[in-house]
Amino acid sequence: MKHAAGVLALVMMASAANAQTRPAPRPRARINRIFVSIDGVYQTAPKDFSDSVTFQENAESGAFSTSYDVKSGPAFTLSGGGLVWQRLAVGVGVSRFSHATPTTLSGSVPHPFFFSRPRSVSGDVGGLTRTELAVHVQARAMIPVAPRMQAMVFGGPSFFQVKQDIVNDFEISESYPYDTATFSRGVTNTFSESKVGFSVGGDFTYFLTRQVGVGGTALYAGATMKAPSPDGGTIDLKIGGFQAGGGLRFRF
Amino acid sequence: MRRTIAAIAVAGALLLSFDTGLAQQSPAVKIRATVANDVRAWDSYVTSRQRAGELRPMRVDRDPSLPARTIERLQQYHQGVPIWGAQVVRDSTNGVAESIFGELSSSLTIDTAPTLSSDNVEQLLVAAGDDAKLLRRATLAILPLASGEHRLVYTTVVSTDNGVYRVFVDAHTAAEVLRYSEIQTQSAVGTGRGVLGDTKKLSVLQQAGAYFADDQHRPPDLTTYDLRADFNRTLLLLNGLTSFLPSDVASDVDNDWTDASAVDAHVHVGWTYDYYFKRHGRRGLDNQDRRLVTLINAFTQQGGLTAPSLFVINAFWCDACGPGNVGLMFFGNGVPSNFFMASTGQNVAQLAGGIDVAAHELTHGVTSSSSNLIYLNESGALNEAFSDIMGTAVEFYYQTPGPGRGQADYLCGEDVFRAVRAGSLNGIRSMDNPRLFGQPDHYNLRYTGTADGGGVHINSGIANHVYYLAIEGGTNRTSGLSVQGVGPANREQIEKVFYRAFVFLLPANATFATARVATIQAAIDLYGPTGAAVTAVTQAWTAVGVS
Repeated sequence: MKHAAGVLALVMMASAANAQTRPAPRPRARINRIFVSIDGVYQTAPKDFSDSVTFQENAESGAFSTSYDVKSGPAFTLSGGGLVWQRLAVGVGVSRFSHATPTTLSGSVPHPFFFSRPRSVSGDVGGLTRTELAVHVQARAMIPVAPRMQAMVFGGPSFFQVKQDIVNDFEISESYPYDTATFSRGVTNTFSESKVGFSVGGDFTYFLTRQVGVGGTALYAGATMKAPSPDGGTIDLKIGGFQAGGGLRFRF
Repeated sequence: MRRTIAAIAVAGALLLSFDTGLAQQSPAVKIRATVANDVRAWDSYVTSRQRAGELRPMRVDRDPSLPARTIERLQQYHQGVPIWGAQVVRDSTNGVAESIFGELSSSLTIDTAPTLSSDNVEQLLVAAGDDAKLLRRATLAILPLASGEHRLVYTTVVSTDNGVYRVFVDAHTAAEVLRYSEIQTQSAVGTGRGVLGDTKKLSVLQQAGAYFADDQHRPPDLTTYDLRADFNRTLLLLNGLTSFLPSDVASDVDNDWTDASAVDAHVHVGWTYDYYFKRHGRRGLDNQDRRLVTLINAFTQQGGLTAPSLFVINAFWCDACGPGNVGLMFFGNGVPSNFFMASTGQNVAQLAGGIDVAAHELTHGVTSSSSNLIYLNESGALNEAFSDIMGTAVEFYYQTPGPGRGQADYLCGEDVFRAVRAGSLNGIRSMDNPRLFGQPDHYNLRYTGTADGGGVHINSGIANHVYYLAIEGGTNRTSGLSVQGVGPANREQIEKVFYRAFVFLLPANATFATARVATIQAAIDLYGPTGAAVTAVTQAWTAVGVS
């Protein structure tokens, strides 16, 4: 840090000597060696997903399909890093958010007395969530824009820890003569897995003081993973999404 | 004296108290009051506990057999937490208690503030392994143990790889206090091939690793008994001289049923019950879900060659047969496929294979419980006709119309009485053309002798033909009179007309003339005086010469 300040002082002194013969140059933008960002962001939903399941009931195959609506939502991110060479830095960002994933279910339940006379049921399964904890390891290119303004672009691998509630069964209410059935509730379990993906993004900061600023950030982080379907198949999950937001910037 | 004892018991129950703690010993208050003085004393006690909020209503029932009675079921609570199984049942007439039964905990001081949350407990149970899933949310309760101890617990129902259990977990320590199976008996659905080779579903009972033809889905007790070619036992059961044993129930080890007679008997009786319920809103034979008991396999087909024909090439309903006069449905097994009857040129398959046969016989049970048409002469012929009519109605309800085996038509028993010899016919009666089987299709041709109860199986052809004409229309072959039927798409109208007339309107000694008036009236009642059903039924009776 002291070394950086010394270099900067020398540069400023040299500039002062030249000022007598040339117009004063514009102050150069300052490159920070260590940076920390705290952002509140809004993450757009990753792709909705669905599942189709077959099961045996009443001596016949039944089926249900679920459609998961992954909601967008606010998140909190914390990132930081340091300059490693010229304008290239490395950083680590952590974000966590929890999405509600309201789910609709439709199914056909075999009749207890007759073949090929399934009862149709449908309903909403509430209370399902997706929680993502992501650690983004990023190479960052710092682009000074003005003395108080700085841009960054970055990208790198992202490590996701995902918990997703999955409907693995459902209950119905039925009574004699069983020609109709009504959806009662979904039975869920939670799928949890880690996955490596990637992230790319950019950041723009306006420094209010030498060390504190405000900025905006945009980032896309994503990965795909396969969750187990109740009937032994798999469900393709897109995780991550596009984040945009803003917050405080610190540089040292 | 009884009143004094009861009062002492109540007072004692109220005065006894024990140390508080996480677990608490508490005496049980046992209420078994049936004598007036006892009932009054306990009624007062129950009422006072109710006012104190310790007893809260769970439900109120009425027993259809004693409609003036009201049966209250009250749950005991301690500080708002239910005490597991602690209930009082009070049977009253116009607010006056007749009897009170119950077993309550008394003098409880157990702390009802749990250390653990229900979420904690649920997570622990799910994490316990065996692919555990919660079928109910965990709820707080006080569990009385056999030792008299009481514990504050969470209770829930857990489904695991090994079964479904009611589980009780200590609300402070998470230790499991009690677990028992929630599966007393389990309904199951099996499959099997019927007499015609078609695959059907059977509603059965799963118990002790086997499957039994004991329907767990339909409201009445519907059981099929396999007599395993024990004719002596068959006679004992028919005569009510012995009781059914659990081993008598038709069973299968893997729920893929291979006894075609058992499959069709069990299924067709169930389907007939369903038809009456769905089409006519009737709950079984007596409209009160009377037991449906079916006997099969009195003889093997080979053994039947030398057996009384009543039990071989026949099916019957016996209203007063069976242990306790329960009423029995019987299906003969017919004869081997390489045999035929010399008189008709027909082979007879297992009788249970004919859905119209099953519905015909069970309809005799309906008639017995309603108009009770005397089984003699014209009323007897109407009795038989109503069974044929409902048998055919059931057949059309479940099968697609057509001339083939397993298809719906106006022949009776055609799926099991099969023509083998050239020139012979399928079935035993025709509603379209009764004369094919020697029945009259016109009143002028009626049998007036004394055989067959005055021709109950002969003259039924007249009313059968009315039913056919009222639906399909056409011309009576004897009178030449034509009928404008309601059409096959409206057969439900004629089914309902005949059901209403034969079940509700006809007297036991009805004649054909009475049946004419009653069915026309039923048509008017149901579809108005200008309805097509009235025209069809009126023209049909006129066409067969009944006026």
